Amino acid sequence: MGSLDNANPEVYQATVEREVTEADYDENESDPIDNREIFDLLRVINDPEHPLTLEQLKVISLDHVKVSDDENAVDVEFTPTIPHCSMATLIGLCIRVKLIRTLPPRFKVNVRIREGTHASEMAVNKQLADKERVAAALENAHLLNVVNQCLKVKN
Amino acid sequence: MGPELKQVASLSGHYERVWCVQWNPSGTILASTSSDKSVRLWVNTPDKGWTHGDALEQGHTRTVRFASWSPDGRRIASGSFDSMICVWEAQGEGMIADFECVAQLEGHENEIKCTAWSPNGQLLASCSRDKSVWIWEADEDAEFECVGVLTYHTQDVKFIKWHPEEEILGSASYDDTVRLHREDDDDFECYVTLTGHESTVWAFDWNKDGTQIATVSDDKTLRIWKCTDKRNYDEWRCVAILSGFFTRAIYSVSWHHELNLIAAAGADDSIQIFAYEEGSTKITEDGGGWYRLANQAHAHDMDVNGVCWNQHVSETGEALLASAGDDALVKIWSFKNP
Repeated sequence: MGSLDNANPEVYQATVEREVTEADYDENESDPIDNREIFDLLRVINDPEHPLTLEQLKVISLDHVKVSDDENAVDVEFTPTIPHCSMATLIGLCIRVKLIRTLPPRFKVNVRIREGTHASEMAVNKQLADKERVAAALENAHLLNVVNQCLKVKN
Repeated sequence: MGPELKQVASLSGHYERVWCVQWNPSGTILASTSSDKSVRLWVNTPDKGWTHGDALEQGHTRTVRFASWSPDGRRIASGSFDSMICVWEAQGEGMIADFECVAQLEGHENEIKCTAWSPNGQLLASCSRDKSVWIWEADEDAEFECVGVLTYHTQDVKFIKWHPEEEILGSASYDDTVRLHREDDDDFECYVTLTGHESTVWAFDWNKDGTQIATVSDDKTLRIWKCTDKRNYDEWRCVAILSGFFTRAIYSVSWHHELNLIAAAGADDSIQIFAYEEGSTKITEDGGGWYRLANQAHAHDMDVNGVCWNQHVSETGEALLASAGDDALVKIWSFKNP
């Protein structure tokens, strides 16, 4: 493996686990998917380069995750650690795949680089929004393996 | 209440996302392609109604993105993410003939997105993520020879379709343009570029006489382009921009030649029908005479990837429309021209 894009990234403290309430166990309580739930799905994704999670690198943060259960829409913005990060497309792909695999199919998923945080923001966003390219990428066994490694939850 | 699409059949058989639906020229067989690596054929039988005919499963090793029928209805060219084209040929004469793979065309570097037969069936075109469009000459023994590689687009070529009468090939791309190519001194060359869309152009279709083109894009608009120089098809300009109807990317468009209706569909799960009326009060500012006639919201439970009109019109004025969805279903709708 060659030199890392960002050899010494800032590492941030992870959030505490969501508090489980009585209502969570109540089958009759309607329980729409909320921002924290989406964030919890994404924060544990591993960075492709470092033995750290996307949350620890602040690539994903709760403030930049928006879900509307009623409108079946999820919008995620992620922040690459450096503006020339060559892993941005791969990270975006991991986020998209995690959401597609976890959420009910009624959801429409948008994954974007947070504005002003990457040199090739437009190009990467266009690529991530192209379902045909995403579908083809996931038929590539090598790439799929890399994505699956990033999505493997560590204990 | 305006006119509506009526669901005639919801066909399951594919076990993954369906990308494309295409009627054979006589409108008796519907072909669909899927990420499950197969092409399926569907027919309307007197006893069982719409049901599956053949499944063409042994040709491709990855997603089959598109399939197109030759003008005589005897051949199907399927293009796949495995970068191959399979040409399937009807064996025997029955209504549901068996199709067998008679040729596999290699050459593209990666995923094939679309295939298209020329109006006389002598040329087959294909396009790919490798940014190129290839033109193959077909003979009766199913020998195919590449006679041209067009490399005008700067990004993936998403869709190609021949002019209904002339040997003019249109291509749409991730580079936001549509290009028209024709033969000049034995070589196909790009001679017109339609610019205006603000993102990927996913598909387009020609009207009956090939003097208009409807394009659909990731920018959520449907645009109509008109040829102002019919003799040479040289001059084209955008005469209508239909925006505000779709809330997400539009993936597919189909022009009903006899009824002059445009069907379009995409990532907001809807199928919408547009009609033209000169001087109509329904005309929107940029609509150039085009207005929405029907909106089938939630046509599928997920993205609609393909729509295709059956060009046959029944005696009662009904036409059939087929659609392909991420929900792995193929649907058939009927629409009555008001």
